[in-house]
Amino acid sequence: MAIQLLTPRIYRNMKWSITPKDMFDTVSMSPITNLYETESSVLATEEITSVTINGHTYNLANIGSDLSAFNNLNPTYIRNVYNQSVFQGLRTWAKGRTDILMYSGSKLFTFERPISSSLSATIAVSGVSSLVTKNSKNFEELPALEDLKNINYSAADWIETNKNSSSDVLTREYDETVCSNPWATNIPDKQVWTEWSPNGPISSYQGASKESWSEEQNYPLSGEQVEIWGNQNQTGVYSPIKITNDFISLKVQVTKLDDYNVRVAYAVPIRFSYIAASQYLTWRSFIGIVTTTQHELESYAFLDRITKITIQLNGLALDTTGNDISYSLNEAGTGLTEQTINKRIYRVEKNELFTLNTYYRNDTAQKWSNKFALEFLQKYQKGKYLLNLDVPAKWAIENKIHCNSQLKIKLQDNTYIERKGSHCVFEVKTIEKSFKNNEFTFSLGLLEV
Amino acid sequence: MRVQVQIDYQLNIGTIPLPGALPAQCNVSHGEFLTNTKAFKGYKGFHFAANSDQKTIKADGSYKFYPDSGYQGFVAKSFTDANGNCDLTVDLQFTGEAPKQLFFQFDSVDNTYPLKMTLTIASSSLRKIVDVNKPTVMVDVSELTLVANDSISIAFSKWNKANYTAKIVSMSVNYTGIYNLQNLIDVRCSENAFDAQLNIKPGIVEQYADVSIYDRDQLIHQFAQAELLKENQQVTILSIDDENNTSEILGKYRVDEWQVEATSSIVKINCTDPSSTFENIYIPSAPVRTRTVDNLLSFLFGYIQNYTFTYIDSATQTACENIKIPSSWCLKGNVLEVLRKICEVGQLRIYWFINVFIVARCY
Repeated sequence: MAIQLLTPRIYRNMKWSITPKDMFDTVSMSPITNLYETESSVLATEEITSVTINGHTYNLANIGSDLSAFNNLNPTYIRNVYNQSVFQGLRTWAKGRTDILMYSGSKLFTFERPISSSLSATIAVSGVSSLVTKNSKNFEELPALEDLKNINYSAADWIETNKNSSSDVLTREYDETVCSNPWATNIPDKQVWTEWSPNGPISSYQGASKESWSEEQNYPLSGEQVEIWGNQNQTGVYSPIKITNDFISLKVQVTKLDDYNVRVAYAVPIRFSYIAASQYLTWRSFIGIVTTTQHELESYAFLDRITKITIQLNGLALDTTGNDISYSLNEAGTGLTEQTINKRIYRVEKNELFTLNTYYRNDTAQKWSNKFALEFLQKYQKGKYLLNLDVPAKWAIENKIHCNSQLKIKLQDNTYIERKGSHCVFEVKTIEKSFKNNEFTFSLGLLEV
Repeated sequence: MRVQVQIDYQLNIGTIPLPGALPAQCNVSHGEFLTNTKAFKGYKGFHFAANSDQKTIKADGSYKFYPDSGYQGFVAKSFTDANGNCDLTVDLQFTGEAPKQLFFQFDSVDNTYPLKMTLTIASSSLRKIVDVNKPTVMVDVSELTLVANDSISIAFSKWNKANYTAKIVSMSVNYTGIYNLQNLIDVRCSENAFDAQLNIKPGIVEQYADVSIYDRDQLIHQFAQAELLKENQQVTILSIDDENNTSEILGKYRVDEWQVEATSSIVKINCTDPSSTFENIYIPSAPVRTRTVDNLLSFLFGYIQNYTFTYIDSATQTACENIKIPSSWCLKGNVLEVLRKICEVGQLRIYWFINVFIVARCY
């Protein structure tokens, strides 16, 4: 059998073969929902157990013992440097200070899937309270000092979840009961808690401190006038302040950089220390003189340390659930039914670019999935003819045969390959061009249009 | 109708300006009458021999034809003498970085070439004498310590034919190998929009070209020894119609593998298309917005340098412009992965042909 190609030049006796191919009756696909969920969920969680300050990385669990890094704030070496004139008499005098070490940092959260703009972050801290006594290197060891018996203190691990939302700043208030105590003046100004910003660079913040001097008989010091505090009936002096979690102020701020990146800035007091020292002094060296004598005092300190910061980012997650759909032609062949007729299925792979709401033209109601399925099934319901044939390269080149070129096939008896009474039109889909032994041939793979 | 294969060895490490003393292109039949030759049926002639006075044409059968467009190359203004001597010297001035190799192509059709070349480096006065025994020569000048903007004086003093027109077809630092009937054993190349089984399946179709060359002058073997054969060197396959003096590009490919064996003069080259490099091109995640498939293709090809895409027909273009994905996004990854996903959405096939990626529908 020979064929003729309806092109300017006709070749006969070419090698060719024709086979039926690709009969499909169902299109199966799984477009993704691709909408943000309506309820917020946890998108990411980050636990921070170390911080970097001035280029050095500190493990939060050890930050209390590494006091040298923070201005030698070591309560066991508090010393009194007094150089003012005072009146004669017995004096119980004391010195105390509180310090706060603030840390502000940021964490970049990167997501593989886009995130919505409805974002919030919560920050939680956990830590440990401990007591430091003079000459004791063991922060966890409670001193057996009678002077401390009235202190409402226990050394224990604690977990607190102080949650802030979005960019709101939660400044935890002082314990008013404690603060109203006249002895409780020796705490940092409230400003210390609030003046730092989570937007700043990662850094440490040394809070303001106060020092107080007490005098037994309310004789004012001739120098700096400060409030007197302390229990003057005992050799030790302490403040009734218990550093509780109420003093922990956390700040967190969420900035969406783009659809995939969020920066969470945070600021946390990673250490709070309260130090007190006292000495009951007998009549001696302060009589009418100016002294620079240093007296090492009984001293102790409470330390509240945060050992872990947990940031949790909340928001609306993208729903990438696939929606399995199968379309088949209805009986009339003019529309679709959502069912699988039999097993000749054409599958469209699921991916994040093919969504349930992908539409065609500007009509959002005209879904691409429907349009494609109908178009495809109508075309392939009866399958296609596949035709392979070899032609001389010269003929193919002269007739500008490339992919998408359309041909009709005329048989030797002057009939055409037909379908439903119409001449089949074939489209070139593959071309292999070969040259060997002076034979220059194009092998064409054609598919019925 | 025949096939020609051109391999661009991509060795361009400098430029050689045309020597001022010689015409870059001339239509000649005699060295002294460079412009007087008349065309006959689209061809002009080139006479390589002369009588003793070297001015009149001698009908000795040595008349060669070349296209009307002119002879491509440099021609000496005087013939070689009875002993093959010719006063032909070319000064090459390099701009920028000095080359490591020079390529000379003499007349392989007429098998004419100089027997000796003397290279003299301007900056150092170093000399190198090269004995020549074939019309294509690669000269290694790396040991001559050329410096930037250096120049070389090359004397082609002794030729293999007496009373002949001395010609240099090309001098370059960027050699393009041209292989014709006398070199080509087997050539096979594709222009495929579908896979071999013609499956209805979206995705990228990788093209192939397999070429077997008889390395007659052993130049490819020399390249292999000099480690000048690389992947990704461009291979162009053409059909040449000598009757109509036309040519057409059948495809352009990139070398995927060289098979050069020391014991065989046959060199095999396996080629593919540039899509094989897409796996190495990283793209970040796309921001969320409404995009058409056409937008996505443009977004992706924005990350692919040197290559563009076109639609096979206006219907495909319209379809791609009409498919709209609200809040479209994509995972970061390599171009190949994301391109496959775009093909899935638009039910597209993408294939390389000559110098562009063509987007077609797969159904």
